[in-house]
Amino acid sequence: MTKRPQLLILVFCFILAASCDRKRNDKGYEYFPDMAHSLAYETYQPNPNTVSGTTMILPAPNTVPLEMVPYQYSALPEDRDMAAAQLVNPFELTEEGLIRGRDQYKIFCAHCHGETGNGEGYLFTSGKYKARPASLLSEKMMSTNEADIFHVITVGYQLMGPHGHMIKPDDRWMISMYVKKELQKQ
Amino acid sequence: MNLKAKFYRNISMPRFIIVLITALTLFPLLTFSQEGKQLFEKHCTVCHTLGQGKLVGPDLAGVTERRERSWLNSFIRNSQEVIQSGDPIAVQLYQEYNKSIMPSFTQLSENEINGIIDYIGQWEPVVVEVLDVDVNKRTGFKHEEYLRGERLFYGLIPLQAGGSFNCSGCHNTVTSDSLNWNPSAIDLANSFIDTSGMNIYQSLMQPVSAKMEAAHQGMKFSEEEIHYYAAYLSHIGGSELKEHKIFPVKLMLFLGFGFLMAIAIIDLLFTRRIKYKIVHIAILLIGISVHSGLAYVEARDLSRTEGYAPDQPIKFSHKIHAGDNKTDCRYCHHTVDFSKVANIPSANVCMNCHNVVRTGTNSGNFEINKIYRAVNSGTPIEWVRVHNLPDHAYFNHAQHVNAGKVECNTCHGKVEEMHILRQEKDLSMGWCVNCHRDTEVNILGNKYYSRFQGLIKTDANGEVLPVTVEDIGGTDCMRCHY
Repeated sequence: MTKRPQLLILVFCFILAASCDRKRNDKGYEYFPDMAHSLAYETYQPNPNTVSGTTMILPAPNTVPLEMVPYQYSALPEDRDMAAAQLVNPFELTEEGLIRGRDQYKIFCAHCHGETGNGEGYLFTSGKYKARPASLLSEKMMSTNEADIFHVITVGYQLMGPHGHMIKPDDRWMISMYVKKELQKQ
Repeated sequence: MNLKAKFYRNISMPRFIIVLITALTLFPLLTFSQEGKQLFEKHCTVCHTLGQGKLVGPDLAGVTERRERSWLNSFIRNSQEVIQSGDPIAVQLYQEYNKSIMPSFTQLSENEINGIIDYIGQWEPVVVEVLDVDVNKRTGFKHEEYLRGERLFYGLIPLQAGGSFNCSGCHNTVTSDSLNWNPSAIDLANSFIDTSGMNIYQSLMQPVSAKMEAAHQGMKFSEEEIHYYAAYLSHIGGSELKEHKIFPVKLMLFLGFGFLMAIAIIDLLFTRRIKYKIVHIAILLIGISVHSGLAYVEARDLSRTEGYAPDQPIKFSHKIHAGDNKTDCRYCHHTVDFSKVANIPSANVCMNCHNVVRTGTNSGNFEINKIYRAVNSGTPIEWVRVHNLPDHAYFNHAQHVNAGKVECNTCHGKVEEMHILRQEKDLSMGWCVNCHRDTEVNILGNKYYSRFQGLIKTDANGEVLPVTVEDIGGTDCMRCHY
C-alpha cells in the first residue's frame, strides 16, 4: 500500500519530464492560457463562417477602401501613354522626399534594376534571375516623366509584376522622383 | 613551340587533310544550330517556350510551319514595325496577347536571327512513349497493388531493370529533424492525387529538372512498377507524416538522477555499503539541484515556444531568399512599416520573381510548382505562423520598425542564415521589458521622439545622459496590456 503514492509520483515525474524534449515541430505545453488565444478570428486564420473558408476575404465588387484612390489605368500600352500624360506628381521636390525615395528604391527596385539604375541588380548579376531587367538610364527611360515611372510601378510592364499593392502611392511618387532627379542626373 | 611540333609530328599529312576537310564542312553546321540554341535560350526563353504552352508570348513549337520565314524574320527584328504596318496576323497576335510588346532585336545580325529560326524549326518534342496504361488513374487501386507499391517504395523488392532503391531514404515518410530538400512521400502523394498535379509516368521516365535527373540517375522503372508506385501514392495521399522520434535527454537525466538518489537513500538508511556519508549527501545535493533545475526550466518554458521551427507547406528557405539573394525583408513583408503585423506575403508577391525563376536552387521544380498550383487554383497557401504573442499582449511592428528604427534581426535573429525559420528569442515579458530598459531612445536624431527633448539631461562634464525606452513610459503596464 505504501508503494502506491511513490508509483504515482514516478508516473507524474515521467509525464512532466516527457514534455521537455521538444521536437522542432512541437510548440510545447501551455499553462492556463487565459486570454492568450483570441476569441475573434484573426486575419490569417481559417474561418468556417465565410464562403472561402478564410478570415481575410475579398471585399464586395466595386468597393473602395478608405483613403484609397482607385487607379483607372490598366497595363495596356495606350494606357501607359495616357497615364504619363494625365497623372501629375502631387509632391514637391524636397531632400526628405528624395531620401524616402532612395530607401524605398533600395527595398523594392534595387535588387533587379541595380543600385545605380543600370539594370544590373544583384538578382540578375548573380544569375538567379535570367531575364535582363530594364535599365532606368536608357534613352527611352530618360525621355519619360515621373508619371510614367509611377504607372509602371503600379501596374507592371512585361515581366515586371504590378507593385501597386506593395508600395503606397506616396512612396511610388517618391521613388519616381528619386529615379528622375537623382539616378538619371548622374 | 614544342606543342606545335608534336602536333604536326603525330598527324600524318593525308590524315590531317581529311580531318581538316571534315572539320571545315561540319563546323558551320554545328555552330549554326549550337549558336541558334544559345541565342534562343538567351533572348527568347524568358517569354516563349518550345512545347510547354504560352508564357508571356506564344508557344513557338512549330511556328516555322505556321508562318513564313520572311515574316518571322521581320517580326523578330522589329515587331512594332510589323504591327504598325497593319499586317493582319501581327495585329491579331498583338490583340490576343494583351498588347504586350515584344522587344525589338535590331542588335542581332541576319545570320543570328536565321540561326534562331533554324533552331526552332529543327526542334522536336521529346518523344514520349505511348503507354497502354491509364496515365490519369489516381484512385481506385487494389489493396495488393498498394502493398506491392509500398514494398517497392521501401526498396524491399528489386526493380526489373536491376537494383533496388529505397525511395523513403530521400522522400521521407517521417518528419525529419532538419530540412530535407526532397519532397516527402506525402508531398509527392498529394501532388499525385491532385488532378492538375504531376504525371507520375512522365516524371519518372523523363525527370523534369536537373536536380531530379541527378538524384534519379541509374534508375529505370517499368510501367508496371510505376503503376504500383502510383497505387502506393494514391493510398497515402492526404495523410500526414509520421512523427519523428527524438532521444529524450532530459527525461533520461531526470530518471537517472532519481535512480541514483533512491540508491543513495537506501544505502544511507539500510545497507550502508559506503562508509563516507559525504558521498550520499553529494549525490542527493546534485540530484536535487538537477531535478529542481529541470523543473524550473520546464515551468518557465510553459506557454513559450522558443526554438519552434515548424515544417511549412512549401520548403521556403529564408537563407536563399534573404541571405544568398539579398532580398530586403521588407520587399515581401511590405506592411511592416505601417501596420501592426508584418504580412505573410501573398502568392502574387512570389510570382514577381517566380514567373521567371522556375527551378529552385535545392529543390528542383517541385516546391516552386506548388506556388503555380496555388495561383492557378486560387487556393491560399497555408503557411504556419512561427512568432506568436498571446492575445493579452499588444505588439505593433510599425512602432518598432518605422518609429523606433529597430532592425528585424534584433527580435527575429539571423533569419538570413535559416533554411527553416526558427523562433530565436523566447518572446517572454521579461525579454520585452529588459530590452525596453536597455534600449536608448535616439531623441536628437529621430524626429518621432522630438517631443521628449525636455527629458535630456547632461552630467557634470556636459555629456548627454542616455534616455531609455523605460524613461519615456515603455514599461508602463498599459503600454502593452489594455
